Amino acid sequence: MKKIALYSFLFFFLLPLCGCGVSGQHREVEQMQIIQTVGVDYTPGGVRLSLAAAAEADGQETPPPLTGTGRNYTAALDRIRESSVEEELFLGHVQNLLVGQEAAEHGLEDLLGTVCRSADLRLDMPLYIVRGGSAEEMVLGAGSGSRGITEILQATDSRSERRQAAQSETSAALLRSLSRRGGALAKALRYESAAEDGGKTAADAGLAVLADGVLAAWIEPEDAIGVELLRGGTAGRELSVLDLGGLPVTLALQRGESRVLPVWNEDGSLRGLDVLAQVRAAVLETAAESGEDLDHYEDYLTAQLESAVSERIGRILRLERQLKLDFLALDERVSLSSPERWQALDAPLGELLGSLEISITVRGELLHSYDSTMDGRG
Amino acid sequence: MKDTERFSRRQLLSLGAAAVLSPALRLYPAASVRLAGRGAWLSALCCLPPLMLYAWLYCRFTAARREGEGLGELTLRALGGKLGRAALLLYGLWLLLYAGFVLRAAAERFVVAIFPDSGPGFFVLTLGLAALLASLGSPRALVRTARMLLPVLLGVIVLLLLFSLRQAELTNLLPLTEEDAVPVLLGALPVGQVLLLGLYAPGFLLGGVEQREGELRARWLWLLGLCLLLSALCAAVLGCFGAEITTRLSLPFFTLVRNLVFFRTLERLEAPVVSLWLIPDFLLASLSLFCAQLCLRLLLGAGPAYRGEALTDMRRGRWLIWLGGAAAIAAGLLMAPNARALALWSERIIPIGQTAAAGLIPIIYMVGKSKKRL
Repeated sequence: MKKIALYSFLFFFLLPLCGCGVSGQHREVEQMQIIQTVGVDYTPGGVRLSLAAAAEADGQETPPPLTGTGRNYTAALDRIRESSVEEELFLGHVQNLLVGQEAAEHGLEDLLGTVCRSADLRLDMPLYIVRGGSAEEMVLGAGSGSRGITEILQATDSRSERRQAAQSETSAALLRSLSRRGGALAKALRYESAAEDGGKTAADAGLAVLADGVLAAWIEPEDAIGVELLRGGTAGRELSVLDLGGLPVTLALQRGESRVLPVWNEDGSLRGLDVLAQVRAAVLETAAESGEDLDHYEDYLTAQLESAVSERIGRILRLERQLKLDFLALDERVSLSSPERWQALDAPLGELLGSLEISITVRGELLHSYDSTMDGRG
Repeated sequence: MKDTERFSRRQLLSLGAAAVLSPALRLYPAASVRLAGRGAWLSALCCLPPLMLYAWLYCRFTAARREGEGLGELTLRALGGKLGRAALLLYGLWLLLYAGFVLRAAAERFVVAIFPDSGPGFFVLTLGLAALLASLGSPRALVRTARMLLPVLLGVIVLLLLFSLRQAELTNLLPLTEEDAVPVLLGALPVGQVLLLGLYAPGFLLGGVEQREGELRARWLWLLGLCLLLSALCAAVLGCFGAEITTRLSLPFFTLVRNLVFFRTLERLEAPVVSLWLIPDFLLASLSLFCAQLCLRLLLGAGPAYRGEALTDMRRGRWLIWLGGAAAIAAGLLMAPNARALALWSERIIPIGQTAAAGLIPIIYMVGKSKKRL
């Protein structure tokens, strides 16, 4: 009992040391603008920042975003602080970092270094690239009423999590991948009209390939399945194929996984990579008639599924070859399977990709159908 | 020595364990990762065999102690008059300098992690005064405090480790090949010197501990536990950030805490955790100051054992405690005007001093043994 009393006393004694109480540095939450999304854009000779705060309470309007320009991130932030009517901008709860396309084309290394050194920003904050536009227009314009850019991105992230789809890369993961192999992938967003109310939203725009911190290429949203499979697995995505009659069929990928196996020459050099992928899907929507030969129909759809997945994997691997950049982190998968041989290689995988024999094998399986015409065959 | 001033071996080992948590989180993950890369999480385990050998020599030495003798008295007896006093002077001065460094390093952590707009002076002074108060009192109070607070510190570390597992990635830790063996061994140096401190420094307080069987076994278990803990800690930091980012961070462990989200609602707990780490800082600064004054008072021929003196009692060389406290605070205020200078102290000067101070003990033992004084 004495110990418990001592620990409790000690705990309360230590709390003010966090700066929340007696230090004079405490801040009232009402006087703070809690920033949740930071947008970064390139301006000639500097950086333009856009900050979006969270709504103050349920049903209230989101506070208007703040913008400022400076020669770097800190200077732009200082400019915003000077012009802000709020007593304090609080950046400790920033959830998302948006980077405009032009800023990404000029390089992200400095920005990621700033995030790494910052005492406020978190390293596990997701980073998005705004495709074909600026972060500022997305921060200022996306959403309506009490739903701003932060809420839209939160919803997107939760949806991805529920569907077990790949989530956006964090700043730490990007920085690590760029330091380790010179390449990385960041999720891309496009600023466009929302279908339901005509307002603007942040829509999925695929992925951005970064080479040495600079935007090097885009990967279209439909090819994201290939990326996810090459990075280990995927689920919860939909894929459209054509059936025997040329009618569209929607397949829902339930689970997909892959293995990347290195093929070695006798002298220890890397000859090639065998990519083995396995995907299981369900038929989500089809125009097939119940009287058709369903076994044949299913076989055909399975072949279509395999072909579609193989095509997407192939496109991604061709991009890796073309850029001579292992942005998929295939090296991690290969090195885990043959660490000693991997260590002996004299060049990074990205540089070797062009000369490697790459074989892609996809095994597809149709599990069931949500369509009564197919499941009702008895 | 009065029975009321005695304490147990377990309490003394707890003081050593709690004290090493301060330099461990400051120095260990980043310094080891710089040397060993992704294999750094194995470095703590690699330093176990040499440290066990050191513990064996240390226990052989301390087994020769008589009633009420600590490492200071043993040193004086093993080396004899002038040489013994010279060794005590070296230990005394080194521990004062080290106490000053601990104060400065603790202050830096507060400045970097919580109060970026402030300077280290206030923190050095406050913690220094607290350590001075502790050294003016009974060593029993210090070791009993450590014994009671160690479970809190370990509990917090284990909790943070559990929550960090979700973010850890295996590819940041593996694969490791034969080529990683040498870097991993080199990475054991920073963790080794941290653990050496926890082994030898509490030895100066051994006068309050009764001689019992199983000294060596207790120290081996102590070493094993701490090596496992430090390995897990390094694996968590490395697993979450990877070697590339860990080496870029000034306080990787506290950055890890900053990134943790507890039960999807609670986050940004780095400030309370940094504050909690004031406990190991306080214990280490107090231990260093206490041992320094013991050595210096022994050097002057004053019996340094605590006999319930009042704080203001200046007899039996107790003025040296005040002087030592002032010197440690002054050292803390003056030694590193900026973070770069502090990094130089932390990564170069202190490890050399620490290793030399720990390495002197087996030499003293061998000299004492060869001259048949032990």
